[in-house]
Amino acid sequence: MLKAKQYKSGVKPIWCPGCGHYSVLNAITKAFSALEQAPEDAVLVSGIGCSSRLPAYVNSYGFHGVHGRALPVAAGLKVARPDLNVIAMGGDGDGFSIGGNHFLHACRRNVNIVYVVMDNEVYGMTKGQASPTTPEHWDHSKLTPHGPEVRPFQPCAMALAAGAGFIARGHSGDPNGLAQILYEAVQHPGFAFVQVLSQCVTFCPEQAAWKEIVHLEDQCTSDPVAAANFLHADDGFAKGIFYRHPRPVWPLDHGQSKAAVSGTSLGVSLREGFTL
Amino acid sequence: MTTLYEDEALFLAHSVALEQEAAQRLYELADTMDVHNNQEVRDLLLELAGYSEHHALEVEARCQGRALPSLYAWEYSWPEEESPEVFHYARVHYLMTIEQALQVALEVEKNAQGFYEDVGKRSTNQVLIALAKSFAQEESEHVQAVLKRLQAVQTQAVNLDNTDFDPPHMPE
Repeated sequence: MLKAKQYKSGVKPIWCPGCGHYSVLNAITKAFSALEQAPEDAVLVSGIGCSSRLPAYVNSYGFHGVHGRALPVAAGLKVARPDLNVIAMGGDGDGFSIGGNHFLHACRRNVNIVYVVMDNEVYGMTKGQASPTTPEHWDHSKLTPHGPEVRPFQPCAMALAAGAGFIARGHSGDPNGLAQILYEAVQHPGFAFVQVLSQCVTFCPEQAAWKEIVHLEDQCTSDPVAAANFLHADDGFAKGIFYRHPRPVWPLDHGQSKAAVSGTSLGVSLREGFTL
Repeated sequence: MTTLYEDEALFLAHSVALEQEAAQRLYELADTMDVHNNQEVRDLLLELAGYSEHHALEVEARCQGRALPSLYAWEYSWPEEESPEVFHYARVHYLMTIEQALQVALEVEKNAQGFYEDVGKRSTNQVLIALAKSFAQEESEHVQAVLKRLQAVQTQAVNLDNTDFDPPHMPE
C-alpha cells in the first residue's frame, strides 16, 4: 500500500500559496492510498485552467486536454479501457461554461468515471473574470462592474436533473472529508459528480470565510425527489454525499464480442500500430 | 468502539500522524514559496518541517515496536477537519513574511498542545494520560521556542505594513 505522499509526482505545483486546489491534490492522493490504487491504472484527465494543472502533480497517467473537453476525452478513454480508473477534473468555467454541454450529457450517459470540479466561482488563470458559478452581485472584475447580474449555475441540481447517479460536494478546507467523498465516488458504478468548493485566495479572498459557513450534510438519499427537494433548498455550502442511486452504466453490454464492433469488421483499415 | 481517549495504540497513531502531516504540509508549502520566489519564508518552512519530521521519528521511537492501527485519512478523530499542527492552506500567501509564518507556527503548536491536554483530561487510562501529558509538555516547549523566535523577529521588525505591493492584476 502506497502512502498518500507517494502519489505526488516530482513536479512542484505553481498554484498561488493559499489556493484550495492544493487541498484537492492532497485529497486525491489520500483517496488513492486508501483505494490502494495502482498508479499505472489511474488516469486523470483535465481541461484548461488553474485546476486543470492537477494531473501533472499526481503520480499516475494524466491527460491535460482541451478547454472544456475533459469529459468526452475521459468518457472515450473509459469506454476503450474499462479496466482503468478514469477521473476527469477541471474548474467551474471549464466544466460549466466551455464544457457545459458535455457535463449535461456525461450525467445522462452514465459512463463509469468520476468528475471533480474545483469550483472557485472565478476564471483565475485569466485574471479573475466572472464564471458560471460567480455570485450575481460579485463586482470585483471591471468586466462586470455591477456583478454578472445572472443567477449562478447550480451544478448539483443540474447533475441531478441530467441523471447523475452520484452527487457530492466537498470543501478544500476539509481535505480528509473530501478524500472520503472521492474514495466513495471512485467506487460508485457510473458517473460520479463531485463539486469542490475550492477557494481562490488571489481573486476572491473573501472565500477564506467559506471555512466558517460550510456545513456537513450527512443524509445521503437514493430518492431523486428527496434529493431534488434538498438541492432546491441548498444554500450552496452543504458538504457531503447528497445522492447515490446506481443505474445501468454506459455502454450497455448487449452480448456483442469486441471483434464484432471493431473497425476491422466494419471494413475500416487502421494505421499501422493502432488496434481496437 | 474504542476511542483515542482509551486506546494507547490509537492515540499513538494520532500522535505520529500529527507530526508527519505537519512536516508534509510544511515541505509542500516550502515548495510553494520556492516557486513564488519567497526564499526567506521557504527557508523557515523547511527548517520547521525538519523539526516536525524529527518529532515524528521521536514519537515513532516511543511506540517501541508496538503495532499501530492503520487509519484512513478521514478516520482520525481530530478536533477539527485536519490534524491540529498543520498549516491550513488558506493561511498562507505568496508575500507572507517571516513574522506571519511564525505567527501561524505558534498557532498550530498551541493547537497541538491543546489537543494533548484535552486527551489527558478526557482519558481514564493512566498510561495514556501520562503519554498525553508528556506530549503536551513537549508541545509547550515548541510553543516557547516559536514564541522566542517570533519575539526576536518582532524586535528586529522595521515595517510590518501588510499592504500587498504586488496586487493581483485585473486588466478588464
